[in-house]
Amino acid sequence: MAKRPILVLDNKDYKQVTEDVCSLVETVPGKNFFALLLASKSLLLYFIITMGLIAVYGMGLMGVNSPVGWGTDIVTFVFWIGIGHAGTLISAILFLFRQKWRTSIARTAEAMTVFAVMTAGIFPLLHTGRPWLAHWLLPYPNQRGPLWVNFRSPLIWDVFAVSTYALVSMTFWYVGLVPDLATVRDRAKNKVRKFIYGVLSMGWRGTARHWNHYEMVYMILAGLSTPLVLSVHSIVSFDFAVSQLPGWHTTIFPPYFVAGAVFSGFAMVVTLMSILRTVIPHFKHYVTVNHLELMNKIIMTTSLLVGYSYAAEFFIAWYSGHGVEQYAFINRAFGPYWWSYWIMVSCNVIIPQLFWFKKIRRNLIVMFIISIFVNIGMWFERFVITVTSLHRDFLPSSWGMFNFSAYDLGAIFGSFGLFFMLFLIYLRVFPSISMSEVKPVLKVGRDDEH
Amino acid sequence: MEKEIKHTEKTKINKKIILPKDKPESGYWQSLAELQNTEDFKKSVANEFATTPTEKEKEEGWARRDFLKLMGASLALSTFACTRKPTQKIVPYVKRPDDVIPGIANHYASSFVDGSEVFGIVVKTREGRPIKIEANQEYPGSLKKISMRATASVLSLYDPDRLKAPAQHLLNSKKTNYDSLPIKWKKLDAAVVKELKKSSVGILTGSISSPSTKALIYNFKQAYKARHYSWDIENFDSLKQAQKISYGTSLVPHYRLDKAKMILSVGADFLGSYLSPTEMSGLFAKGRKPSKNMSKLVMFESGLSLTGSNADIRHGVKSSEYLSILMGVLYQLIIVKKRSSYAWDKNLRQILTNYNESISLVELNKKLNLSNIADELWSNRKKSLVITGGVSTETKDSTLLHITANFLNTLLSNDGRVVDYKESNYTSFKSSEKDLTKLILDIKSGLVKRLIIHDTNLLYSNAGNKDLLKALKKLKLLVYIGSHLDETAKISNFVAPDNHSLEKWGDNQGQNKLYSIMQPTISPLYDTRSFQDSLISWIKEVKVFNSKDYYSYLKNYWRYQFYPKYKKTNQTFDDFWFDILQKGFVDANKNRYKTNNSVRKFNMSALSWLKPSLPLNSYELSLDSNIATRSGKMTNVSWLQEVPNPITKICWDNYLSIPLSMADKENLKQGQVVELKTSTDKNAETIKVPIHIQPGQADNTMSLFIGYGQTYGSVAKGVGVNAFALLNFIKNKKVYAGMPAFIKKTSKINLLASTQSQHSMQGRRIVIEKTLDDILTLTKPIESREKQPTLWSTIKYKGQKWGMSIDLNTCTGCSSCVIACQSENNIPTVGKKYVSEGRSMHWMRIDRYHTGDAKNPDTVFQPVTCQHCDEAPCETVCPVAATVHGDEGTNDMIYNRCVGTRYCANNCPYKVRRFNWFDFTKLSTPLEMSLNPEVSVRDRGVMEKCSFCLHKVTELRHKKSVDKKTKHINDGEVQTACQEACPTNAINFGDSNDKKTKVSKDFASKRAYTLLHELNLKPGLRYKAKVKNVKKLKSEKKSSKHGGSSHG
Repeated sequence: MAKRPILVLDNKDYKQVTEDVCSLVETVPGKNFFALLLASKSLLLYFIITMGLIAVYGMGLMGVNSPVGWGTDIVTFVFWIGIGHAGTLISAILFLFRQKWRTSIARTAEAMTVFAVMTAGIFPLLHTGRPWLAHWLLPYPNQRGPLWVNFRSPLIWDVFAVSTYALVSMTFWYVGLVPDLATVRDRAKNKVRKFIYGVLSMGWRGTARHWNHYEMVYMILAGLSTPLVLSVHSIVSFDFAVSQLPGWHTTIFPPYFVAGAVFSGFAMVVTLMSILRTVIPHFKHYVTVNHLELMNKIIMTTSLLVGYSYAAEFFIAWYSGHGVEQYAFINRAFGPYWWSYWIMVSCNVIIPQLFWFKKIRRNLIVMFIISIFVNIGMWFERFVITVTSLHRDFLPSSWGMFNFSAYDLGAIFGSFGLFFMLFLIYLRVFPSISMSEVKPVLKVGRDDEH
Repeated sequence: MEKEIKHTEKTKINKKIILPKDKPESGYWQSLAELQNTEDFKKSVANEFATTPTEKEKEEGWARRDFLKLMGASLALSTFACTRKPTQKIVPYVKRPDDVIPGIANHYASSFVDGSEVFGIVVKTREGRPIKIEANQEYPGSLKKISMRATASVLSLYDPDRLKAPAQHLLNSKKTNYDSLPIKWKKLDAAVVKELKKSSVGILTGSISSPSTKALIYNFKQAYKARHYSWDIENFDSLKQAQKISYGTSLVPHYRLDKAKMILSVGADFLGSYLSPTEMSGLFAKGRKPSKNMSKLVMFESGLSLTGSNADIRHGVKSSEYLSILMGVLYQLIIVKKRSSYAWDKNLRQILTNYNESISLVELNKKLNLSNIADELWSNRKKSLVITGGVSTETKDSTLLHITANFLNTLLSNDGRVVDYKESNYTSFKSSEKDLTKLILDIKSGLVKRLIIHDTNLLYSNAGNKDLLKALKKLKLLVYIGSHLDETAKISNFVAPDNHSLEKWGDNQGQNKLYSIMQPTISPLYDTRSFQDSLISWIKEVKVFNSKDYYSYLKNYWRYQFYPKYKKTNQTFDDFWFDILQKGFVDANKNRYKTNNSVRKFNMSALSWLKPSLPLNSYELSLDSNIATRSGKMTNVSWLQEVPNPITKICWDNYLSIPLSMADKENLKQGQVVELKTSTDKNAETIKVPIHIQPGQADNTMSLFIGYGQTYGSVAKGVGVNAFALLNFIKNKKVYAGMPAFIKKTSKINLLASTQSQHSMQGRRIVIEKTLDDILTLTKPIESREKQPTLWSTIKYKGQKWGMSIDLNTCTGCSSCVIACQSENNIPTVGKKYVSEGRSMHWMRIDRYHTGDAKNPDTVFQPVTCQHCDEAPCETVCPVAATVHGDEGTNDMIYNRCVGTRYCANNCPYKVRRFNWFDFTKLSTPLEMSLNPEVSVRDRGVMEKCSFCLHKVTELRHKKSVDKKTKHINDGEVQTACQEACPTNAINFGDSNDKKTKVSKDFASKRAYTLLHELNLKPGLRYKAKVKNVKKLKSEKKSSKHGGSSHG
């Protein structure tokens, strides 16, 4: 049997693991942390002001127009939802497949998922013309006469898919946190901390009975989350695929979107982990280069899947013999928005191919840069799908261009402010590595396996 | 009868509190005390359930409950505003005004004059406000249709920039600065009359179509020994002069295009802006029915006009070549083919040979194939037409051009038949350029020192004429009677604001023996007075005058002039007057459009004036008139600014149209600003104007619209540039076309707001166009491609199902429907910036495509509105069911239900849905008075689109179900706004379930097809294919090439 690589470096024992992880929660952060927090909050403020102005004056401030009815908001929504896929995939699917390397990254990846879905959730709300009436999309008994939602609309499916996903992934994340929160509670040296973490850990005492229940719940939730990983982005893709717009109306969309989501999600995990390893030195012992290499392999695989989808779309367009469909794809690659298409192809298909080389797969700086490219590429993938399909459809008379404005920039970059602020606070409030899961995979007491 | 709304519920509630009664109600009693009902018992009952709140405790201070009550109340009072609901007194009508029923519209017959067109209109008013102008369905003048400008005139009534009260301007000696003082009408009258009494009075008006006003001006002239000058921007001087030279009488003929089988137009944009485009479009469409008798239109012009784009054959030529083209046709007929008896006229032959020597007409024939045109004209003699005229033909030789056209019409025996000289639309058209020249001379010589100007913005439309400004500044008194504080009003001493035409009485002569009345449909919104009333009050000061105001003057005029002639037997004047007001007009010519006239004798000596017109070597500029904004009146109406030009699809601007060849040569980009002048003179006026590259613009020519660059009005100010500054004067003649043009590039780019950026159909089947032969031999439906399969089961509509058909063959693209729809459905305008951002709100749009080569393409138009698909893609994707299908086959939009996801717009393949990107309902007062209460205004963030004017169906159905106990609407009873406005009757609307309706017959036509047929959406709107009277279509030449050309 081949020898498994060591998952945690530096010969850690249980106490050291606890010290390493809890130190982040128990110490006052340094200036660097506050600088980062301030930067994220400023971005968030920018986001709030942008969105506030749009809500007050109207959607016309953004680039959307006729014929491009959906723009930055939907593009960025799909982008964040896509990013939200890696966490659940790592913690649920890899858990079910008994991939032990997942333990040290699962917590943070899941937190990323939760925050990405939260960020994403804001966009469909704000992209509507009358966001104050967005609750009309929820089917609940109401006083608006016999009016009900239209269950034929993919947007309704979307409401269910995203909210279910958000709820389940949050629950899953929280359940995983409980034993670790109890550890923090037990180590607490003042009453306030003890009280807060006492409440959060929900009376966890670490008895065998507790562990028994916990393992069962965790397994069940993992089982529940797994199909959701596939369903959410499939349903998000229905927003496009169910319409009849050339470039949207394609059956390949559900698997294509899921592959893209996993792709972008893992890229985001690599980005965040690279940063964390630099900022918090002892993270290096838990998130090793081996971990990153494994994720890079997944990125490369999904990159190939996504690349295949791009090619398949073109083939089907040609094979369909449908002139408008064919034109839509020629227009993607060679029309006025050719640059967005080629940014997408280079970032998503060409650049990740560098991961064929082991040296590059294990080079921290290169992988960080590539992961950023993938993030950019995946935003442009959604831009290409949404905007270039809409801007030239059936009747040439109604063709037009997307009218990108400063408010669109605010929506894109501002949303990173929200995400990073939540993420930074998480790092200092919750144990960011799952202690209870890492400890069982340590070498401690298993010297015989050498 | 005063009714006060008070909140009296409280007292009612108090009564419900159960108090101990004198006897136990039930008959049971619990104690003797109760039975006896003693005072003590009553007290104890009142306190029975009271644990604390007793009088006793109150004496000690605050009872606990009272304290809590007060606490609660003060909390509530401190958190809620504590004002009382105000008492609002409402007063019902004691005596309801006659005819005003709230919620029911009233219609008044009236008339509207716009330049050379007179329309019989019906003004629809709601609760006393005019909200829409529609055509008077009895009025024979303009084929029962009105122009888009007439429709839009309702908005000009509510123009917030109108002059609101009389004013005196304090001018300095240079008349440059001014300060406006409000003045009372009485004081103004006194001041004006005091000056006028000093004699040397002049009055300048436009052409006056009102017979009574003409008489009144005559009275005024007598009273003050005044001189009357009549001037308009479009005077039709060359047309009238050529008629005089050729036939002896100065007149504007009536062209009966319906009778012409072969029409040769040289620069005459009769479908767009020349003479009476509304009526001429209707007449032209009559001759365009696809049959063996279908007419053929050949057009020569420099810029691509609406007529040119509807022509079967069109050639782009320089304006300076126009005369040579007509001479070339004449040369072919006389010299080459020796047609008609004139072929042996030596003089004529000599003139033609001489002409041929200086400009080779033989060469021209080779280039433009004039020989064929001459043959077709000859073989269709007596039923052909040679027509020229309009702003873009006003070259230095324009009179000669008209003389040649006249001669050709005489030679082809069209005179009296197709050219109807008796039934002139414009019998009253008496304005001329000479009058203005004379006025300037008279002011210079001191014959006129005091001038009254009525509604003619002289300084704007003569921007290049420095003499005029000098002359006007020399005046001792200038009184301006108009609607806006325009350039001319600014230098006048007194401004006497005129009523809007919907606010005043009047009459108009439309055609020979056709007189219409103008009724006020609303009392003046501001402190304004009609022009005629102003004149009367000034006449009264110096002369005994029996009419106290214009109304009585007008009535008297009709009593003495028309009543004796046109009354029915034994009709009293009051009955006659009542009839006129109700009907709107009196028509004494029953044979209009029917009879032929005798042939007039052509004065052959007229031809001796002909001399060769040499083409210019430089670039040539021709000014032209835009279909919506025309020569600059009513440009402060936002509807007219925002309706895109049918050809260029650009709105909110004028621009220099140049051909592709010139753009390549000079390296000019779309929107690039150039400095343009029409003379090499150093002091010549230069204007900065953006470039528009126009397919079909003739090589080495440029076109520019007049009517822009106004300096007043919140809408019109700063839109475009004033092209009048560029006019050339050659021998005292104003030259609009064929001017030499010099451009200097600048690096500035001025974005032009366009609603359509693509010119080609990309090889898709969108507008189906066929040759006449193909259509006549058509055996199966024109569209027989395979459709996509559907998963839905087809819904059967049992009752009435609304459908619409649009005949692309008669649609000229004039865009009247766009404005009518806007007026009917409260559609907002969004302005240049938002149009260029793709936020135009028009429910009805006219798509324009070019086919063939970009140098001289063919053009097709397609009005597109909601197609009301039976399987509407918008309906399935709306998450909140805000767009659903009506049970009569319409696709309905519920504005209140919409949250604005815009998914429906994305999924609509026709892109007809319009989103309220901002709050477009905010209108500056009093524009909101123009809104139609039948159609709700749409909130920000809500999707909207064409409703098939369903509110009209509902309104009529309600009326019928009450009056006649039926809900069935017969064919033609409801007309959609676009249908009503279409001058060519290209739109039909009705019940497509009933096989007898017009729309069903259209649906059954072999020419009928649905747009994007392959998607199988089962639209309720069908188009009928366009037919061209040619042997081969331009689009067929490159049929194999996928994609076509796109530029711009």
